[in-house]
Amino acid sequence: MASIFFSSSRRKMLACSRPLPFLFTRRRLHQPYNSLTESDVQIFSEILGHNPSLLLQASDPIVHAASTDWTGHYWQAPARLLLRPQTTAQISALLAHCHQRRLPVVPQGGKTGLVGGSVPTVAHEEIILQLQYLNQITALDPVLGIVTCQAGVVLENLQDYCANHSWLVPLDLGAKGTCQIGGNLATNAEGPYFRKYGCLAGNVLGLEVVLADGRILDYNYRLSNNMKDNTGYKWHQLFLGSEGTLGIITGVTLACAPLPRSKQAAFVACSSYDQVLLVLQKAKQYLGEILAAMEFMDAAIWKLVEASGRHQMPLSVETILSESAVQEGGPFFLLIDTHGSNANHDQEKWQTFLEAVQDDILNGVLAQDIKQYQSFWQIRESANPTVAQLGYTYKYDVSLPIAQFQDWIQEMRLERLGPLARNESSSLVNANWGHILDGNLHFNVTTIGKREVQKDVLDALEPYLFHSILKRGGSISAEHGLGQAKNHLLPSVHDEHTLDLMRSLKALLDPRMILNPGKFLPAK
Amino acid sequence: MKILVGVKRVVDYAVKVRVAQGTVELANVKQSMNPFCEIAVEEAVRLKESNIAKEVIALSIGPKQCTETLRTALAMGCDRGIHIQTDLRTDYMELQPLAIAKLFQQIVAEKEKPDLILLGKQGIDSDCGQVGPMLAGLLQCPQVTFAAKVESKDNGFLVERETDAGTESIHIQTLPAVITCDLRLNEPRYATLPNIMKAKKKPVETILAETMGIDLTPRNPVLQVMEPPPRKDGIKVADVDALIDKLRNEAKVLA
Repeated sequence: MASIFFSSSRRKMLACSRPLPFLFTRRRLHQPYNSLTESDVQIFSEILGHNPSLLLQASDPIVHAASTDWTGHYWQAPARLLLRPQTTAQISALLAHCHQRRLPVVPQGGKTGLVGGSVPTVAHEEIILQLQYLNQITALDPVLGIVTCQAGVVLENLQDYCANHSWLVPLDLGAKGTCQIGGNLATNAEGPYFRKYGCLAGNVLGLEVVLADGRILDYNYRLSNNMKDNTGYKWHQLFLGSEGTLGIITGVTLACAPLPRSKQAAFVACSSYDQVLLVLQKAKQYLGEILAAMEFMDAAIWKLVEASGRHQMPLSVETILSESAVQEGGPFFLLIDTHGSNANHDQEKWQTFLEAVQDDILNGVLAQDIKQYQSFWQIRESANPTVAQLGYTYKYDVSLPIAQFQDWIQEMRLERLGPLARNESSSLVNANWGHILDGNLHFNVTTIGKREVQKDVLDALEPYLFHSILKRGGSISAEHGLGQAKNHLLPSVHDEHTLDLMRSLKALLDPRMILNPGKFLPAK
Repeated sequence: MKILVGVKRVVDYAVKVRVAQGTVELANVKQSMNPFCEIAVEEAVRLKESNIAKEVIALSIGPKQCTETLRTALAMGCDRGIHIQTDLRTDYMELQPLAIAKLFQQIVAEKEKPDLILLGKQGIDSDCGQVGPMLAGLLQCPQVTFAAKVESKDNGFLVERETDAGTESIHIQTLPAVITCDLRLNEPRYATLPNIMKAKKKPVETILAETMGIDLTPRNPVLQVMEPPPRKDGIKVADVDALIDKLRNEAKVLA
């Protein structure tokens, strides 16, 4: 089967280059759905208790904003309708009606995703169903650290609530102040603490899901908080990472970890990627069980964050370059974070580790208090917003063998970006960062000052990038998922049997295809 | 010139303080260098880097974990440390500003005889801001509090001082003097790994507080320690009339 490497950037470009009238474009595409009628709106309104703030029409600027994703790359047209249910029962009734009337729905949480998975597509005129009012944390067992909450709870709120009882939610992201736990589950979000606290899916003890036809399914959510239960297929795991295409997650029971009493962090600078690998190995060896995260940032992203002027940087690329010779692309920075139950024990481990790596690093800083610890993370978490502000960013989230990160970056720079003709007024920068412990690299190319996709840059990057990642045995989407950005790439990643199985599951759970059409699975 | 810097170990600025057993809970709570003391250390190190000072000594009073606080000061650039060891609580509950000032006075007048004493303007645990002025009074020497800028001038210092009405410039003409440091003075540096390693070899002298012959009993009895009452939730009103009604009759802020 021919590979179709059409990313969203390319589709957006093609849409721009063919200015067909809006209505004409829609009619040309296959329409298995019905159009929204006044009677539908009346029924929705009744389900939502005729509360005017829970049902908004397309003309409302809030609907406009809800139809645009965070990156701004997937703006198509405003949704026809925005629904904001307050209970699972309402979601059930809304979906039952949409199923019966064949009306497409896009579930929406914090809308912080990077693959356009939670916004409507112009082809389908979806109704947006926002989860934000399902924001109750209903229970926390203070002895076991098991928390039960609705899907619309903002991650940071959940973290703060659990932290007040000395429990740690096993998930952290830069977007924590906006993203919702339901969305995190639906996208199987990971973040930097994957290695220590495990896959989010592994910490899910219970789940409540509303299916496309309105049926509510409960896996250990309302009735019990069992930690172990082998009484059937683990069907709930299907919904994790399904990006709203199999059902809408409305509630979760999560196992938390004990809140670490001691958190330490250091930034180190290495002159070569080989040194980075040495530091990584020694960190695993000497920091052992307290090693919580290791984040990689290359010189390019460090310089951009420095230039933004928003942070007091603990290290400076310029100073390092003036004092030492570095490999091309360097110096390379690592944020090393540990979580432990005893500060004295942790400090001992750190002492041994720092002594072991003193010849492998150019310089480093160790956070002396919580504020410095938080600043280090703010520096790391500002990578994405910094490049987003500078211009259009071509974002790629890949898995690669850890030893090959820099080698692959150099390949992309030399073979694809280098040959691009660029002058003073149209500069282009490649900045890289990632969760190096997990083999996850975020490769970003930004055209400074330009907010539109540029064909020559896009052609330089795609489809070559995907081919080269797959050739190295990597993944073309490590954690950001598929959405409408990468679903078209699936036929190159999976064989027909696998794709058929996925399509069968979709047909089983959402036979009328009303949930998040145009996303996740490739169009047939 | 020799500078003595005071560094206090306090509950970390980012920690939510809780009350347990009628006092501030310290067990298992992260403690770090007082942020204003960090600023004082930074200023002292900068004075040394610009060759105005030759030696910077860090002084800390408290339990044995204060040596960690001193190591941070040493990693930032101080030359040596003095630890006055006591298990009395230094957050006002047991050891209070006057006793602390007297301990400092003895080190200054009888042991180190520095030309300048740099302190943070206040500890974020007790929020007193008293040790600086009390120490200057005991030493009978000039003091400038809330320093936002410190410059060497003649044989003294020109200090800009923050007040509610604006900034005043004060010329300290004779030394020794006491300067307490405010937020705007500088941005403290991070402790780099090479400096942390070097700091381990710098000398730290420990003196037991009870051997210094100073009465450390608190002058002011602490009657009660309590958390502030929880803030009442905000409410939503249906319309402007309801808002005016509440403002007039409940909040009583309208005539």
